Amino acid sequence: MIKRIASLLNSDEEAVEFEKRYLVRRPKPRKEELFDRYMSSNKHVIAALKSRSRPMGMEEFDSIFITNDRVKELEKHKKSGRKIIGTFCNMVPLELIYAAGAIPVRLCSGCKDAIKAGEEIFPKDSCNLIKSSIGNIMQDQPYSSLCDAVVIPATCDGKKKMGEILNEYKAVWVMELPQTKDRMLGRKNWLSETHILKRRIERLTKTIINRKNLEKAIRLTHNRHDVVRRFLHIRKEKPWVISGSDSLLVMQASFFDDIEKWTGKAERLCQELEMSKQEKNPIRILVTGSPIIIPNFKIPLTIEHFNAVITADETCAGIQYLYDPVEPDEWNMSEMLKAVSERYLMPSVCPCFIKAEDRIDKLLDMIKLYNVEGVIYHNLRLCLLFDAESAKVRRVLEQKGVPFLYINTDYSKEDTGQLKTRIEAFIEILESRR
Amino acid sequence: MKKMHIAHKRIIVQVLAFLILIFGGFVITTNHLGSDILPFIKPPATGSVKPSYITPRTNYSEVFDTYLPVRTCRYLGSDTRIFRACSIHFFTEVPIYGVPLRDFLPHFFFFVLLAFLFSRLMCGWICPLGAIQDFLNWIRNKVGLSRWRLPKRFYKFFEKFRYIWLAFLFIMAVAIVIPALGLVPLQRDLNILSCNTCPGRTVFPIITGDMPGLWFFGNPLHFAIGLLGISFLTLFSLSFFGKRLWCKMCPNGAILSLFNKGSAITKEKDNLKCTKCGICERVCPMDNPKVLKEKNKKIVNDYNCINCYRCVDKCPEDNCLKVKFFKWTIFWSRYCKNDKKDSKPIE
Repeated sequence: MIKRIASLLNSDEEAVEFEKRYLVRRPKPRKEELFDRYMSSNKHVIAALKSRSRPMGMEEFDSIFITNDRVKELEKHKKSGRKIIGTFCNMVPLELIYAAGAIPVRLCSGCKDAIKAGEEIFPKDSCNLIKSSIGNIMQDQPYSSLCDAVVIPATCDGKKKMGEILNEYKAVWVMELPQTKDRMLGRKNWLSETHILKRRIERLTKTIINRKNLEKAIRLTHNRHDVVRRFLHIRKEKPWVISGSDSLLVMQASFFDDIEKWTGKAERLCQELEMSKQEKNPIRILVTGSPIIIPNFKIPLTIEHFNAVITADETCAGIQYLYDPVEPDEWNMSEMLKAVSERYLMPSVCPCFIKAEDRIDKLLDMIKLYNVEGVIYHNLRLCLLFDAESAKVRRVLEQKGVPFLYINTDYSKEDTGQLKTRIEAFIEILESRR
Repeated sequence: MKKMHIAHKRIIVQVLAFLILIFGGFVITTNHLGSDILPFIKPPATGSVKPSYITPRTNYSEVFDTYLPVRTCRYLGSDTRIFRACSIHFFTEVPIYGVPLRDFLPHFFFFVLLAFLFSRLMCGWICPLGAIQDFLNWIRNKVGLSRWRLPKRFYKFFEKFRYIWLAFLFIMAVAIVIPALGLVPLQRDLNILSCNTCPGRTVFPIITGDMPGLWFFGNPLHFAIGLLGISFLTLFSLSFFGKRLWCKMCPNGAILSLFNKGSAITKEKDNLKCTKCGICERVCPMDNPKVLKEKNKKIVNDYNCINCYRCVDKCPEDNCLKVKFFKWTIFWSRYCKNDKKDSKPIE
């Protein structure tokens, strides 16, 4: 009781605050056609996927990307008083948001048309994902216009500066991420950041996060986690049954969709896949590197155009988004908060941390487990972090004898022809090694 | 929460061991099974060695004439006991009784055999004091209080101090027999120091319905020993908040720790499968970071581990942590669906 009162009375002196002394905001009119263009790019991607054989359960996931039903649902929720909180990256504790009755929406954007607006206030020579997300928020596009607050963990340079610029459009809450995961100092600081986020969410939604609703939120995400593990088990045993692009679609539907409905849809999909009896033998490929977000599905579509399937991926918008569980030691408040905060920091293999060894461990394990024949390293142009780690990954895979292909690209479609040639050559090499 | 495969088995073994070791004497009432292999050790006929105020109120009619390396105490209020006492009591009693080597060595080898085969598995699965501490923790969980985690300085202090204390016990056990040191008149007071300062001496009689007997007054030596006994008892009862705080200090545990690294029971870790999520360190009752931090070697035994295997239970990756006895795998970590409470749809 005393702790509750104290937590409400505590001011946010310790949180990262922006001073609004100099502003750079350029008001822009909202463009309806931008969202329509986004949906039509999604439609192209899904049409390309539909031309191949696809499980029937995937139709339930398509509606989020090609219609604006979910936007209307979120507007209804907002009118009835629930808050919507936007997130970036993998490191925001989602259980706190669910516990307070709010809805999290991940705003990492793959839309090429929003980049132009972002280039007016963000440098041209920078990551396309960040420019696209800024462009979406500047022009008040549907998912980001509904957010009451945006939580950004300060991972790479781009995200750090993005927070300051976006603060003029929306309330931005920045969480300082430690640079290494090994030291107790880093974990303690991240736990304090989680406490600060908890207080901010409580103040925004005017509900207190107590033991009961946090436990309920953790069990909700446990359910989702069970289904994800079941899905991955199917992909391990029968890699031909669902294509990699479809699996990425399934994972990215959870950015926007309601958690219980998503869990139901994914369970039905798993049931259908377990009963499927096809027999094929495509080449198994692992994709790693920068996130591949719809509609930027250039690479998965090109790879699977040939006789290959992406059985696994090590990207933060694919399997790694939902892979790890929250395991509290006991079901009281301090242990649950510790469990939640450590789950979002410790198993993460983002190259924004100083050491690369954990990511290489994970890659080697995935190669053995999913029986992978070749690795494709996808780097978004001008991302220093993924580029710097590619040397080490290439060296280790050479020593282990795993074929490796490095692709440096961005959101534009100019190099599609070149990519096709290179990937085709790579897949032919793999076929001849069989 | 994950279904705990190992924890269920461990609770059953702990409860059984507790009942047998403490109350078994009421049920199994045959005469002692002395033999040639583990000979019966008689106290000296004169009987002038034992001070009167700490005499246990039983006669020597135990079933198994030997000692276990766990805190199976002689101060139980039952008329018969299953085992005679714990091994520290045996080792410190031997010089005073003047036991010949022929009788001493078999018990010693039996102790070394148990320590090599099982090392600190006895602490985690069989010791009744450990079972009592786990029970206190269970009560704290039901009441809803959160767990104390002491800063690392305390744990490091206890790790070093327990060996100093152990050496002190052995030195005192030998020193009161040597006339040249002049401690022979104090034999009554300084005898079996480990028993007088053990928390089991007050706890076990209470369980079997007897009066605990700690004697403070008489002379300053009694007072000092009693004070030390009270402080260890406080440490033991503080494991209501922490977990297994007494196990960090226990002299029995200190000896068994030396066997932990080379014993027949090992814990193995596959570093490639590990996602470095940190769950194993967070659920450990001894706050041991070794399983998380070891990235090169396969075997992750540690001096402090009490082999409770909560880390293996909670690890979410398949076959990442394994428990092996010689070369057979007994327990292994696996991903399993969460328990029944989770699989219901949330209303």
